[in-house]
Amino acid sequence: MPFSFTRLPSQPMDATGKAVLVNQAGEHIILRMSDVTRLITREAPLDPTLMERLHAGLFVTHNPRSSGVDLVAQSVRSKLSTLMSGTELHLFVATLRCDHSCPYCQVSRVSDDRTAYDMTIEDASAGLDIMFASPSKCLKLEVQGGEPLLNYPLVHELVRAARKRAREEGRPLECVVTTNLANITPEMCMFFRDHDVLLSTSIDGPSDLHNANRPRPGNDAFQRAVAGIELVRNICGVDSVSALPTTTRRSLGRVREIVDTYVGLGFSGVFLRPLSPFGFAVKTQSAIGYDTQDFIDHYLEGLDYCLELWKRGYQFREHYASLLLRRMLTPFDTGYVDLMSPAGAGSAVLVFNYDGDVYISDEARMLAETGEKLFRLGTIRGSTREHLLAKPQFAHWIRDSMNEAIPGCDWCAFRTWCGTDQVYHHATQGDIVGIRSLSSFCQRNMAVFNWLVQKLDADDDDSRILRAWGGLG
Amino acid sequence: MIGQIVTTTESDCIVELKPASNELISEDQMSSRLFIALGDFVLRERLEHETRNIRELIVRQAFERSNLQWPDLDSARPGDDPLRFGVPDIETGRTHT
Repeated sequence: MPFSFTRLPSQPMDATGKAVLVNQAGEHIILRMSDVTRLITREAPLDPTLMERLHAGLFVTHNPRSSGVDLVAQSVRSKLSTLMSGTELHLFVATLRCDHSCPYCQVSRVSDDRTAYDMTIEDASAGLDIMFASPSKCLKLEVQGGEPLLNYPLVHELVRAARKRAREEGRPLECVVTTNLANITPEMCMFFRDHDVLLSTSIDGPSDLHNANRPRPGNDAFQRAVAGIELVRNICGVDSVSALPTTTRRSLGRVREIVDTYVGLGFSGVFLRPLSPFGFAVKTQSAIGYDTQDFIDHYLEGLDYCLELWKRGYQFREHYASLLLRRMLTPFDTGYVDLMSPAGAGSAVLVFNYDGDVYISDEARMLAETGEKLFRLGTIRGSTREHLLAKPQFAHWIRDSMNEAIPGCDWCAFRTWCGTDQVYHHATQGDIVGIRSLSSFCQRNMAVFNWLVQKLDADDDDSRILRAWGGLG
Repeated sequence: MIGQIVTTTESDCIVELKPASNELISEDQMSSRLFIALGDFVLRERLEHETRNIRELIVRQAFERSNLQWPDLDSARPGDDPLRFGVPDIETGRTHT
């Protein structure tokens, strides 16, 4: 049966070293390279017990008409199911205005009194027409900014109209507002509660780190975010607000404190994410950025700490690792748009910018704020969904984002679990395919996959916890 | 290790190599790693060649099985339960003969 293999970097670079083998179904097995060579060349016999494991894992079959081929085909189909379901996530940029001036913000920051940077009701309504034209069974509306609550009248009308339409059409709809919570009021919370809206916010770590990362008048971003979380939980419910940290140079060496902050605020997990190389974040890279290896070290220390907390009885998980583990351990697609092949940009997500322009991803609109509008599909005004997606380049972007055909991904064992990001590689390397050996995206994901497969293979407490994160047990 | 092709002729290919990170590595170590990496690619080529037919069969089989009778069932998620198997018969009015 077809599979790919990659040597584990912690192992000797010879026949005694180990490699991970992954097949098209996403099943994996770790073998010594001497066994991998025997399996492929058949120049020496393989141990019968190993042959049984290879059969069980669908790496070997005696008969191409066996049920093993059916099982792998079914798995391939499940993993690519989002390809056939239509765009689910639609992002609306309610405004570019923001009352924070974070140096790593990926989008333009303008003062909070310039309504020229607000989305209009007419554009929002046109965006809803495009969203509801999607064939996707489930729809997800996410409102972003700037700080979207500075244009609350639009957020209110957008959510109200979307809920009404979803009810009329009998379609499941998830609504999320991404906000710094600095300006949230009890009235807003009551509206969000009544319209089943989830809130997503940012907590970069302890107060001093958060406030240094997120300057605002009064230097009280952390205090306001924490007060907002409490208000939302009191009115909308405990699970109606989630948070994400952004990692800057100041965060390095403080991952345990960051995790502890999330634990202290009562969250059940954290999503440790790197700085995005888009938009205005590029200009501040030299001041707040770091090497990819620095982030990997920070991230893996964070994973170790989350495992340690779990073993101590606090069931706390890292969400990115959980997403990867679900891809590694189950046949299901996670629907996570940043890690799809072909890329989720445009096929799984569409972004409606404050000015009515439509982009294939949030990163694409961030890039556009610095003048690079390559990934703009058109304008919301007078366009249909079909018209926007008929842009000839769009088909090329999709074709060129299939990792089976990307040099460096084509032979990689982690390909079945990984994804591609044309916007990222265009932003960092000036080419939508990019060179994998120079890609931070690739370097980060390879490091995490390598770490996870070796932990899973150990068959100890860590392995059992990681299986639980992936949805098994 | 990062490689860049400098020149190619009908019989030769000259590649310039440098370590991917700041690690100190001797020329011998580097050439040893290169030959091991090339050996791995020979294995991958052989595997790809020998499994090409079954790979195509898997992809064909994955996409040809669309449900003509109930197309909605094809796009259902595992938790959707479009046929309502998880709902008691007393609620669905389903009877068994």
